[in-house]
Amino acid sequence: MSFVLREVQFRYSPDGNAVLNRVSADIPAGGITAVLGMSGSGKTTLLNLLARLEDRFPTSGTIEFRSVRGAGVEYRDLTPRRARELRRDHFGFVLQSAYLLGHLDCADNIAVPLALQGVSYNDRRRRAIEVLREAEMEDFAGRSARDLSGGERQRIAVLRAVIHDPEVIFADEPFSSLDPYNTDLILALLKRWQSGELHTGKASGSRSLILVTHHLALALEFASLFLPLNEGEQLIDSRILVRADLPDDVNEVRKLVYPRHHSPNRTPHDA
Amino acid sequence: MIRFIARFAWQDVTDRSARRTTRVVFLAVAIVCAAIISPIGFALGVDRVSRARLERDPLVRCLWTGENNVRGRITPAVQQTIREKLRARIPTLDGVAGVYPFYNTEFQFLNSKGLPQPPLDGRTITLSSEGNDPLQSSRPTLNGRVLQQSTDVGLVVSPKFWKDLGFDPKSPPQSIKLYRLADDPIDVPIVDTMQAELPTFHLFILTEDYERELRRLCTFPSSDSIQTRPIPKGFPLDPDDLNADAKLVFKARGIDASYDERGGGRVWWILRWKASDPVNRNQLEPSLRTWQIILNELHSRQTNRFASEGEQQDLRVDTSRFVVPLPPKVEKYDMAAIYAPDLDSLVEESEIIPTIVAGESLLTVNTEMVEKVVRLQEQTKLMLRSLFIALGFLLLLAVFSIYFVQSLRADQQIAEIGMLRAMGMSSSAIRCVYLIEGFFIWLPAASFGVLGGSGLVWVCSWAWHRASPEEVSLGFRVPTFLVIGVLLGTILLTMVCIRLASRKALRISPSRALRAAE
Repeated sequence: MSFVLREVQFRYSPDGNAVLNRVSADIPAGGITAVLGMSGSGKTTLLNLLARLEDRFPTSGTIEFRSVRGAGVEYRDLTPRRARELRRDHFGFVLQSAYLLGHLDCADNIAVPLALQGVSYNDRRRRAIEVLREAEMEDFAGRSARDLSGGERQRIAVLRAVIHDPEVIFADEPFSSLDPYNTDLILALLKRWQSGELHTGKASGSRSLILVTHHLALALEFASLFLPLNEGEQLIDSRILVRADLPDDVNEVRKLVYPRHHSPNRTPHDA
Repeated sequence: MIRFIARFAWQDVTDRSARRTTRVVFLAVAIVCAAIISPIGFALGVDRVSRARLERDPLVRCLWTGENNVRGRITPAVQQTIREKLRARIPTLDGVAGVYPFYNTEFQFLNSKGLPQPPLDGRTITLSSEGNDPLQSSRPTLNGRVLQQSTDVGLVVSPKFWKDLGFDPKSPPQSIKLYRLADDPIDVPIVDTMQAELPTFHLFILTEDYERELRRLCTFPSSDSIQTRPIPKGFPLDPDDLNADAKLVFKARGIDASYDERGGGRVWWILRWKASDPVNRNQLEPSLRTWQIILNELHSRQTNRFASEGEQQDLRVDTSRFVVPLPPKVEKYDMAAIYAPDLDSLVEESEIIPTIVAGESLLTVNTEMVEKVVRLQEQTKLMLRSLFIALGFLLLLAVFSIYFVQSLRADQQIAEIGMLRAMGMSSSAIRCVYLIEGFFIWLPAASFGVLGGSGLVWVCSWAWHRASPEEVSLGFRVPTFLVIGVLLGTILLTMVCIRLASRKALRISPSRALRAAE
């Protein structure tokens, strides 16, 4: 599934500031897109809009959802029911917190998307255990989600996001509270899903990952497309960027993406 | 999906690692809910009157439930009205009034002063008055009277009987009335056996003294033909023997040499009583409300003799003409008719009639009963008022508790709900989760409440009356309607409260729910 954004502006209230302003980008199907920017730059809002988690419409501009077959539907034409089905069948989510259901064990947590699709308990449990095995975490199956560490919870959340083999996974700051070891594990899982190793149901090209992160170095290493935002506006052009559009030096990229961080008028609070 | 939701809800409710405070709150609210429902069960249970008692006497029914089923309307003025109506229904006392065997009522006679006589120690006797009937031949010396209802049944009473009733045996009343209903008396003529021939009859009920006298007088072989037996207990009615084909066979062997053609034969009667159930009986024509004595006339008419011993076995009696046509057993009671009857019909059917007929002096028993019923009624009314006031507050507390707890749960679960909605769970499914969770909590509480309330009825009954609720007419039964009603009420209340409490979780978008969780 690809997304076409044209001059998207979004406000939470009619007289409020524009959280997103004139954002335009073509996010193609397949690949990993990193949405970069400082806190408050509108990254999560953009992700919520793309994932149709918001019940409000963009103030202006259009967002078009295009399936791999080319059929598109505009944001405003997506009814709540269609949006719900879209999220259920085609999207996966890895958020800052795992939001696991504490009273279920890991396998049942992973199987929640399948439950929502109406898959029988035995089938979804079996598939959850398969996924755990592929991720070399089969001993987690019967463990309560409440007993897991933060990294383990996030890994279970990744498996929950991929179990129904969605077309798009939205990952919002999935590494923000993780140590490097767990970050690498989760990245490895996401890479394996994106490359089709975890599931063979779809061609690798049809899997998209939209990653919102502060972790610039990791994003540069991991992503192929970039959408840097600053205070709701695109930093460069009105298009999505590829690695070649960004400076080679990571520090230069950091200056670009976090301009206030490097501003001469920067206050200690900004740090 | 339903299984997932139910499992989700169940595991959520039974989650042992849930916050302690939450569990304490749940427990507390469940106890409050049980405490609320217990008095409801108590109040409703107490208000139930033993149906058996009600059915036994419609006037009690009236006194307890009140006219037109309005409690508290049996005031002294109403009681007076009832008495007047009763008196108006009773004809002028021109003789001896009795109550024909009816319901479970004993055969009761009042003397000329209106005082009740002890039950007659009657015995049945089978005789025939045809031809040279020895009884008729003994008539001149008998100096007795026969109360004859029909050719099938009669009462033979001795002079002592009249004396006991306060009459001069030499000038007894011309007739007495036996009452099946107040408006349905059976005018029983007094047949003077000294002056009139006895009509054909086959069954007598006579006093023991009379029987002794009869045997003394009838030395002719007929004395052997008189075969008597005590009236069976409950004869002719046994209310417990509903719809059973009661049979009584009276045998008379070797009646008389003059009955050669019937010698060795057997006269037998079959009694069938099919209408002992009050409800059934009330649906019958008045003429069918009494018991029927069936004589095997068919065989005798066809063969001019009674069936022999051997023939008896093969005899197929046409019982169809003797069987009281009854509707199928009435399973469903017309509660409106039972609990809100017309006052006049109550008066007509009341068992109080025979005792009230003699005047005010006989009302002492009734007054006692009425006072007892009214006293119980007053107690119950006071108790119910107190309970209902308390229940009002408790009900409000229950509503707030359910709403509060469910709101708390909705807030606690906002992140999980936000995530589930992000993953595509529908609002109705989420509402279902809340509902099932709610029912897992509230339904057991309601069940315990009903049980507790029922137990409370017993405890209070023993505390106040030193008797079971049944004995003091505070009816206690397995409260089926109460259980269903309370459970349905709980379901309704829970649904409303949960729907209100879960509105917040259902209305906000997934992104806002997730933001709220952070």
